[in-house]
Amino acid sequence: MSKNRKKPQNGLNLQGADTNTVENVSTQPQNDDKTAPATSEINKSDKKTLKPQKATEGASESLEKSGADSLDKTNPETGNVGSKPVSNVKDNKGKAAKPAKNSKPISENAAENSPLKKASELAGAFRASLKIKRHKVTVEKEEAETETSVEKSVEPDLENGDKEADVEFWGNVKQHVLSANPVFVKVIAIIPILGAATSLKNGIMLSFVMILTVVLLNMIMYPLNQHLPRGYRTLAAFVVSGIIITPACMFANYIAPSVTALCGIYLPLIAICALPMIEKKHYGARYGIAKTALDAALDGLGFAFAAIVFSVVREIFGNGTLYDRPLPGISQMKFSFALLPAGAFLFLGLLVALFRKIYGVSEDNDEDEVE
Amino acid sequence: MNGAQFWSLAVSAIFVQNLVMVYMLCDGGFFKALKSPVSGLVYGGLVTAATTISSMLSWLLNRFLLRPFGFTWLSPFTFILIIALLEFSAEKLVARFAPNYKNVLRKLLPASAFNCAVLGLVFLNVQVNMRGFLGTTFYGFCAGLGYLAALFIAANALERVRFSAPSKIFKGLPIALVTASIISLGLMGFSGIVIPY
Repeated sequence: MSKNRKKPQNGLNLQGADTNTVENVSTQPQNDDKTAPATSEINKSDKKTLKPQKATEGASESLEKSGADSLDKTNPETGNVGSKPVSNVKDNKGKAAKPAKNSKPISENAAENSPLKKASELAGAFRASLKIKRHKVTVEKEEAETETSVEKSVEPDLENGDKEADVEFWGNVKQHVLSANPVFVKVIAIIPILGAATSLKNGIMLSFVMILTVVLLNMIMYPLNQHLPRGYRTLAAFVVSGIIITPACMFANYIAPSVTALCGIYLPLIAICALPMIEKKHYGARYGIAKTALDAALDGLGFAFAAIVFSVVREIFGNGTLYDRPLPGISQMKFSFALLPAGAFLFLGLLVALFRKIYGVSEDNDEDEVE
Repeated sequence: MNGAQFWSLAVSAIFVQNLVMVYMLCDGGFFKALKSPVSGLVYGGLVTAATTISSMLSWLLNRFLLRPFGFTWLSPFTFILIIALLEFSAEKLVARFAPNYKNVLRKLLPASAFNCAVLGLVFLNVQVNMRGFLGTTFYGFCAGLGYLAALFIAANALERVRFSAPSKIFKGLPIALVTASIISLGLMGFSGIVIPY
């Protein structure tokens, strides 16, 4: 019992009362508390109710005053001081008070509780308003930061046109190509890059076919998705991508047969890799087909960026050439591990880690998403 | 074909020409399926079924329809149509005969059928085209087993990686890719073996 009494007194002085002390006091037997002086117990109960809510200093002072005033008003009427604090503490904790022997303290408790509850409600409301203010301030700061970062990337020549539209457009480009790159950040559509991006020519061919496929696929699937039921959308998209990829491969074979032969089986596999790049957020009616096609083209541009970066890195490391021309100084040092499957996995893993480091993406809840 | 040829085909499909580690036909679904062993096993089994049936049907179509009439330029669309029909019929069969498993297989069936491993294996079969009907079907089955083996090896390797606490940027897919690189390096030891079929 001595510990239970000392802690609230420290709390009075240091303004650091914990919730544990409140529980200890509330669980005290009734007989022991009769020895304690009444006024100190009342003040304790006031502070205990107010401190755990972490109100600010001004609010707590005003609330203490109101609580103390209400208690002072009720005390002289009854004059029965000794049995009051026990039931007081119990009621503040929220437990149902047992019917005491004296009928007076119960009626007084009903009168005392209402201002205390009001005070606690006031403190809660004040705290909530403070939180909202802080949240608003942080949101405004973040918006200002993003706006400045976007504006820096915009060229100053574009002041004559619609500046907001330009800022939005360049932000969109930056998001699709860099910060939400479909290969280096989202790690979808990695198979053609792993398999065929061993030289810059292959990378250009892959990116060309991919942009063509993704744009056409999105433009065809946008009206189809309005009518198809949900279970058949993936199936329809798969068939449509097959319809698109066949003439695309023929066109690629017509332009550059040798590069198409080098890409081999990985060029028609773009049909499957384009499936996750359908803009599913555009299923709603508020986007038009033009915006869908634009976003799809930006996604394809992100793939092209990834393919060209990856193929250049692999060609320089593995073959010592760039666009099939030997580079001076490096052409003799061939690190052919980069052209093997193991090298492809390793380089892609390192590049994904690099992009996640730059753009602050991380998988914290990777164990939750299990298909 | 005799037994030795079938044996050599099996070794070739599972280890020498592994779909995941040598041909790199793995997408995000491969690494997502690694996270729980049961779904990985079901996923690998579905992929095995898809590779077997699709390589069988694609050989028939390629032999009797595409080659004689000079429609080889139409092969991507034809094979994609085969796989789409396969997935559609599998969904219908599951809904008809095993409706209790419909919710379990709702995500796994498209993920295993619309997989790069299945379509890539069909294209590889067409490229080689000297195994015959039985050989192609058996090769498709063994390639699916190779996919399952790669899934099993990578799952065990990544379970060990999970206890070693990689750094924050490597956590998840990047460390999985680096692990796949090391496993692929190990499977390159089989690459000297020359198999006639």
